[in-house]
Amino acid sequence: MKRVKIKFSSVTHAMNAKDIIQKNGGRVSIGKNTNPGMNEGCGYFLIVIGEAEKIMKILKINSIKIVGYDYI
Amino acid sequence: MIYLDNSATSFPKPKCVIDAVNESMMMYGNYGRSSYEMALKTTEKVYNCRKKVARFFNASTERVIFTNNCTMALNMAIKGIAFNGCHFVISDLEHNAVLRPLEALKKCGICDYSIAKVERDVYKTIQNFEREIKKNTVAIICTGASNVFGIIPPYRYIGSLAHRYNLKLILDASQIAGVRKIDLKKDNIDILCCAGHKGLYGPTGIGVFVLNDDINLNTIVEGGTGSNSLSATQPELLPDRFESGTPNISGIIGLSSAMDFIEEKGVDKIYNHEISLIKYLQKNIEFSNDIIVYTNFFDKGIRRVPVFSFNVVNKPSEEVAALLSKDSICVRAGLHCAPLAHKKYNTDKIGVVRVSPSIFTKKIQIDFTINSLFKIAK
Repeated sequence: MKRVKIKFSSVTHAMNAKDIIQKNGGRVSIGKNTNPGMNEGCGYFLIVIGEAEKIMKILKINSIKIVGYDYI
Repeated sequence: MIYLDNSATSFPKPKCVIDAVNESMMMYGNYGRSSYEMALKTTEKVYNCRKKVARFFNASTERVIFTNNCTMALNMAIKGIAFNGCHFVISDLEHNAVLRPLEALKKCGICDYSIAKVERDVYKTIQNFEREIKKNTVAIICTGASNVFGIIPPYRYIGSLAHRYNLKLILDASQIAGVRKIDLKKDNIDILCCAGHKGLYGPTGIGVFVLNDDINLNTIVEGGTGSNSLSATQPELLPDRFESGTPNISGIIGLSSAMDFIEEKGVDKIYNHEISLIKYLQKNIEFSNDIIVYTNFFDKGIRRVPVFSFNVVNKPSEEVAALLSKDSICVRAGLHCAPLAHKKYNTDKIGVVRVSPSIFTKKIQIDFTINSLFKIAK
């Protein structure tokens, strides 16, 4: 399975997303960028095991705003 | 000690709240800023409290903003929504936490406000509010319950009226939260401001500011939020936009436990317990010619929270409170920072003695209070 790193603007949104992904059976951990860029919000990210499209769809349905995501 | 001043600050606090605050001092640090384990654990604790408050008021988690108290939340709401030349409508039961920010804005020439009378008749009350709405009115501010007379204005209908005119309803929920269920959506509330240390049984120094929807509000405090740090502009995203600086982490963790306590007890059970004590007190003192009761809890035409007010004939309210204090009974007397409510009941010159129980108050303590009152009223 792929690992997706999702970046957030606010730690509250990151925690909210963590909750929602876990409720949907996803495995997720939270971390913080060591050097967040200008547009990388709070620097908090989630590492999720799964398909990015599916995860993004879940987050979108729940109105969770993200800064971006990458496969790692 | 018999503590009957829970409308000011609930006491004692539930043991789980005391334990949580103690634990927070030993185990939790800053939140939302760092990646070390303690910071992440603290962040999770803060988030959990936000989630509980959101569930309690039927709001979205990110729209729960922690403040120092209800006064700060009300200032954020009033000054955040105000613009040059705007107008507010407020009820005639409002606390100085509403009145003074409005007066300050009025003195600066920014806004004006009108006061609408809350009456027994819901329809008349709504008419009174509607009459005060002007073209430049931006919001109606209403208390969830009077902190002096316990009256619950029909805020759900007032909210409905506000929305008909495209206005916002700002609710001061300090006296009602924890004793009556509040649902932001069903009750048509746009902004809810609430203290954490009263009916929610949390520590002092914590309040909440809850938004029902995306409302365009200016900030009154700007600063570090732990997000978008390279930008000199305050972030737009909630809750960060309104939470600058390190929050009261211990207060939040204490409030989180307090929310569990209320959930476990149940709001209805808390209300019924307190109302039964108030009715018992009223029944035992109202027949006296030496005691004037202002809050009739047997009148089904007026909805009230358990706040009981009275005076002893020919004795200033502060003197009665001082005499009760000699018997280790703690009540609040005077004007309760609510001059509008006192003017409404013609008690603005003398004040009233206010009794407000909690879930921890026992019937025997009310018996003791009744005995002490009759000694004073002799």
